[in-house]
Formats: sequence, structure tokens, C-alpha cells
Amino acid sequence: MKIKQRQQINIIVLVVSILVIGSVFVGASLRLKRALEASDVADAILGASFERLMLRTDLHRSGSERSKIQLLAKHKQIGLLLQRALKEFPDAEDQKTIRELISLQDSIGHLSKTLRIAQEQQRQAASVDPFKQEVQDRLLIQLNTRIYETIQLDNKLQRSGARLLTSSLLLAGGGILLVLIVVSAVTIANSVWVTRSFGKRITMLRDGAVTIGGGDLAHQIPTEGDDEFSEVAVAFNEMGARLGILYRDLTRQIEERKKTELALRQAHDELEQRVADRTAELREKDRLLLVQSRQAAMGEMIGNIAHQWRQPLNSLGITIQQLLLCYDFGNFDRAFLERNVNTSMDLIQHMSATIDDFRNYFKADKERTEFKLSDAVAKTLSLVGESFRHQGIGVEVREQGDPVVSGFANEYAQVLLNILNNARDAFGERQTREPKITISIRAEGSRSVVTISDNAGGISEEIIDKIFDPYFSTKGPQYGTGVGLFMAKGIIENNMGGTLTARNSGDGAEFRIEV
Amino acid sequence: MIRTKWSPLAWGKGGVTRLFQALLLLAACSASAACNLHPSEQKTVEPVTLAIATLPDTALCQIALSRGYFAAEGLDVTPHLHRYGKPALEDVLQRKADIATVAETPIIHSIMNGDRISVIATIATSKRSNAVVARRDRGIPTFEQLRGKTIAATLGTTSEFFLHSYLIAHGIPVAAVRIVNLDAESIPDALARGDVDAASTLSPYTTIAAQALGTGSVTFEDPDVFRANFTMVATPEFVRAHPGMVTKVLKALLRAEDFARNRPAEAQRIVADFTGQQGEFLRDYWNQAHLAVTLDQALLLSLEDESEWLLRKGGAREKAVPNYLDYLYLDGLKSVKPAAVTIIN
Repeated sequence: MKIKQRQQINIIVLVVSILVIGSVFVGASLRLKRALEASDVADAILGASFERLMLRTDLHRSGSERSKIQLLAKHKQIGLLLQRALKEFPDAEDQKTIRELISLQDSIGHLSKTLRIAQEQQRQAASVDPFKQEVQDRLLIQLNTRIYETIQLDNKLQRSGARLLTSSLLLAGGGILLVLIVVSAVTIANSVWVTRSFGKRITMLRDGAVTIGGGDLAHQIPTEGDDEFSEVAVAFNEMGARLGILYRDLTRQIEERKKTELALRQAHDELEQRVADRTAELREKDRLLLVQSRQAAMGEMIGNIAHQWRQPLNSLGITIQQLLLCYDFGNFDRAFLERNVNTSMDLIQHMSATIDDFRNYFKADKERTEFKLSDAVAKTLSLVGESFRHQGIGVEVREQGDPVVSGFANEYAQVLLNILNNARDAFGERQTREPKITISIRAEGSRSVVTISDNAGGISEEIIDKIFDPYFSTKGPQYGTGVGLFMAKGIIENNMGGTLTARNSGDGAEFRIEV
Repeated sequence: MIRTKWSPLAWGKGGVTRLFQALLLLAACSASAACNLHPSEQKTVEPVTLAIATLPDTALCQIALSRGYFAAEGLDVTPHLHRYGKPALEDVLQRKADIATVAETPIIHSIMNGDRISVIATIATSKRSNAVVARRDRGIPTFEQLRGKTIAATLGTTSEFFLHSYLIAHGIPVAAVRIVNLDAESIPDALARGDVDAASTLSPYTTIAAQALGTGSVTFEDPDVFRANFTMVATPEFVRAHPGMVTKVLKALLRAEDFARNRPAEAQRIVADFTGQQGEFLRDYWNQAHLAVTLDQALLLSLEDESEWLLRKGGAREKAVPNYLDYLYLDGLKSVKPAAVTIIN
């Protein structure tokens, strides 16, 4: 049975209960009204019977017409009351009592009339007739008996009326109480039944939901009955079945994804391995390039030292040769020897200082310091000046002001050296006539700018965007590593917060260092 | 257990057949009573002898016997069956029975002649039990013609008192008729034979006599002149010695009263088996009689009225109407149904 139907039944039970209580109340009220009327009639009959007795005594005493009329009226009233009582008392026993009262009423009327006639005759007679007296006595005793019986039956009828009244009240109260008890019992039974039924069904649903929620999607909740719970159970079962299908699909998809993920991971691992390998390979290449670069730098340095040492070595050779010539010519004396020794020692010290300059130049800066750009340019040119002069490369330095920057002086000088060497190499490759490098030093606002321009013909537009890329070189493997400008850009932009750019200007390239 | 005793004085012609019927009935009553007894009740059984008139007026006694109500009260009843109450009373006076069913007229005759009797209860009242049945062929179409006629009656019973009351109430001196004493069971035949012109008797002999004459009969009855009170009586010695037994008898009679009121058809069948009266007669009796266990003021008035009548008529040893309160045992009925006792004392 559906919950809605149960609710409808409850409403029907309630309505029926109200109707029954109403009916009982109306019925009891009607019965009570009738009982009250019956009781009133019984009381009236009893009261009238006593009044009649009083009037009969009055008539016997006075013999007046008034008392006679009143007695007859009272007798008639009792007769009417008895007729009314026949309608008010439906019980068979009461009906019998009333019929007996009516019979007694007739007897009393008859006996009274006969007795009255006998008494009249007695009064009119000249002497007392014993027989007539006996007749009167006989009638009188019978009349008394009937009156007594009447009062007894009146009493009985009155008690019956009281019982009827009491029973009506009890029936009204009892009827309503009974209906209330029945309704309460039905309500309690219904509540217990509903609670047990609902509790059982809810427990089944809950257990089923817990089981399904626990993963047993094939679990079937019992679908007994035809109420909403069974519909919910069916819905749960269908939901479980659908969830089972979805679960299997999801499981399959997850398996596929796991496989894909595994494949991806393997691919990733392979890629990472390849990247690592490639990175290691590149690092090895970098290391080799670095080594090559260092070796090239060392070559450069040795070449420069060689150029720096060439003149002092020639001078030292001449000085040493002058010793022998002077000895041969006899001009060799202590003063001459002392002068030559001093000259030789100066040359040797110059050469030693040259080595210190190169060693300090390539020594890595450990701390940021403030230095003048003109000093950095001069220092660089001191290293390559002899070499450039030997190669006929003219160097012009233009200074506007004396800007100072904060950074790593040696690294800055290495950048200048790299750019100058590239210019020198370009001059060599392009056989530039009257090669010339112009170094301009100036301040632009808060920035310090150094530009190095040459007249080697400039950088091809096709490669100008790539010249700072690592390993990019136009010199061929035996001359360039392709890391010079890359490292120079890194020094200026990463270590010193500046910029290093290149462009073609005039008849050559121009590098701009802005810090 | 119920034993029955045949009283040859009470039964006349046709008594053998009636006796056989009564024996069968009492055997059935014995079985019924035995079945109604519980083991514990069987241990306290008291023997009691009831002298019962087989008249409708003793219906409650007959029902109590038949339904086993006496046995249920622990009474082992021995019934003495009689045709009417006067011989039943004689059983008590002769100590042949403990309790008798009898109308008030034999009672006042006995008391006014020196017997000590205690009235335990009234068990029936009726205003139509007595009548005068006359032969039309004797020139008696109305009661006026009863003057000078020979009228049979059972002297010392209600039939005699009714005849006197009827005649006097209708202005006929008793001396104007000739009264012949006959047993009640003899009256119908005597009237049929024409031995008498009319007869004053009681039910069911009024009906039997009228039926015997057929259309030749005329019945005079007057409910305004007489109320018959059928009572249960015992000797004062018995009542004093056995008040508990009297109470049990009254309880059984009250149960019979309920049965008679609530199941009249079954009750009438029981009475029919006892009295030999059938159908319409008993239904009519049930309507006009009052079958109830009472002790009411009307009984007292009747006893005094009839006593005065007896004094006037003569035939009483006593010279004055006694105080009948001394002859009524009220405590028994008061103890079981106080509302039934309406005698003022």
C-alpha cells in the first residue's frame, strides 16, 4: 500500500471517527432528551397520584362539588400522562408497567365512582344498611389496594425513568469514550504498524544504500510491496545497475589511462633521458668549447705576450751583444757593464710586468668594484696594442667625460678584448685597407656607454640577429668557438645589468656597451 | 438432587398420566441441577422440601426447579406437588414440607384459626386468576341472575373470597345465593353435569369449566374486586432455624423471575410442562399476572381485608384481625433484594 493511500486511509478513519462521534453525540443527545422527558412524565404521574390521593381524602371529608371536580380533573390528568408515558417509555417492561397503571387507573375510576354512589345512597338512606356498609368497605379496601399499587408502579416507572436517564448519560459518555478508545487503538496500531513497516523498509533501504555505497553495485534491495519504498528500492537497484555499468566503463577508462600514462611516463623518461644525454652531451661540448675558448684565449694571450716581449727581447739581445762588442773594442768597463746590466734588468722587469698584467687580466673578479671605463679601455688596449700596431690596425679612443661604473673590471675588459679581437679578425678576413677601430667613451644620462666601431665592412644582415647566439661563428672551427659574444653578452647583461648590442654603422660594425 | 413425593390428597382423576409427566420432568430437572452444581457447592447441599401448587401462579418455583436454580444455590429440593395452594399449606402445617406455595386466603384462614405461619415472599399477583363460570341454560346471562342460584366454590381458598367480593361489590348479598363446597378439580365436571348453576374457581379450572360448557357458559370476572397474592410460606420455626436456606430459596426465585421476564416463551414451556396448560392460556396469564418476588403493602392490605371478611363471615377462632407484620418474614428478601420489600415497618 502506498504512503499516500495510507494517509488517505488515515484521513478517512479520522473523518469516519468524527462522523461516528458526531452520530453518537447526536444519538445520545436525542436519547438523553427522551429520557429527560420520560423521567419528567414519571415524576408528574407520581406527583399527580399523590395529589389525587390528597383530593380523595378531601372529597371523603367534605363531599363538596369542588373537591369532586378537582379529583376528576386530576384523575383525567393522570390518564393523559399515562398515555404520554406510553410514547415516552419504549422498553417492553415499562410498557407493561404503564399498561398495568392504565388498568389500575380504570379500576380506580370505576371503584371511586361505585364507592361514591354507594356513599351517596348511604347518606340518603334513613338508617345504616349493614350490607351497603359492607359493600363500601369492600370497595374501599380494593380502592386503597389499587391506589397503593398505583403508587408502587409509579415509583417503579420513576426509577425506570431515572435508569433511562442514567443509561443515556452512560451511553453518551461510554459511546464517545468507546469511539475514542477504538480510534486511539486504531491510531496507535496504525502508528505502530507504520513505524514498524517504515522502519523495516527504511532499514532495508539504508542497508542496501550502505552496501551499494560500499561498492557492491550488484546488490539488490528487496522490492516487496507496492508502496513508495518499493519504488525507491527499485530506483536504488536501477541506480546501482547504472553505477555498475559506469563503474566498469570508468575502470576500463582508468586502465586505459593508466596504460597511456605509463606509456607517457616511459616516453617522458626516455625523453628526459635523451634530454639528459643531450644536455650532458651539450655540457661536454660546452666544456670542450670552454676548454677550446680558454686554449684560444691562452693562445691569444701567448700571442700578445709574444708581441709584448718581442721588442724587449730584441733590446735585451742587442744589449747582450753590445757586451761582447764593447769588450772586443775595449770599451768594456764597469760603467758600461753597469749600464747594460741596469738596462737588461729594466727589460726583464718590463717583461715580468707584462706577464703580471696578463695574469691579472684573466684573473676572475671576486667582488663588484667601481672602476673607470677609460681605465678598462686603456688596460685592454695595453694588452693588444702592440699586436694591433704590428698588424697596422689603428685605434682611436674618444672620451667624453670620465664615467665610472660598478661591476667586474676584468670581465668588462674581457668583453672589450673579445670585441676588439673580432674586429681584428674581420680586418684580417676582409683585408681591410687602413683598418681602424674607434672606441668612444661617454655618459648618457645615468648610463655609461662605450661603443667600439670598425671599418671592416659590417655584419651581414642575415646573421646580425644570431651573432650573440652560443656556438655561432663565421670564422670556421679552427679560428672561432662561437661562444665569445655569447659570453660577452652574458657578462654585461646578466652580471652587470647592462646591455650589449650590435649594429652596422658607416662602413663597419658598431658594438654598444651600456651599463 | 431433587426428589418428588406424590400427594394422594392433591391429585384426583387423570393424575396417573400427569404424575408420569411430572416424574419425567423432575428427572430432567435432576440431571440439569446436577450439571449446574460445582464440586464445591455439592459439598454444602442442604435438603429442603417444597410443597408446590401446579398452578401458573407458582411459575417462578417451577422455573427455578427446571432451570436448576435451587440446586445452584446448594439446595437439594424435594417437591411435593399439589393441584392448588391450600393442600400445599397443609403440608407445611403438618411438617411434611418446609416451604409451601399458597395464596393469601388459606393463609388468613390458618392464622385466624391459630396457626403460626411466616410469609417469606409473594411470587405472583393476579386480578384475573379467579372468575365465576355460570351455565347459561340456568338463566344466568348476567351477574344479576346469580341471585338464588347454587354456586360451587372451594371454601377456605381464594375462590370463596372472590365469590364473596364479587357478589358484594355487585350488590348481591352472599345470603342470596347457595354456596356449595367442592374441590377445585371437581368443579368443572360438577358444573358440566349441572350439579351446580355456577362455580367460583381459579385458573386453570375456570378455563377448563368454560371449555367444558362451550357456548353454554358465561364467565364473570372483575379485576377491581380482588387481587390474588400467591406466596411462599413456612413455619416461623423453620424460618428461624434456616434463614440461610430461605435466602437461597429467594435467590433462586429471583433468578427465575429474571428468566420469566427475559425469556417468556421458554418460561411458558416450563410452566406448561408442570401445569398441563398450553399456548394462549399461558401467554394471556403472562400478560395479566405479575410474576415477581416481592413483599408489598398490598399484600398486607389483602391479608387484613380478607381477615375482616372472615371475621364478618364467621369461621375464625380469632376475634380480631392480627398484626400481620408479625407474620411476614421481611429479612430474607431484604437481604437479597431490598427494593422488593415495600412494606412499611
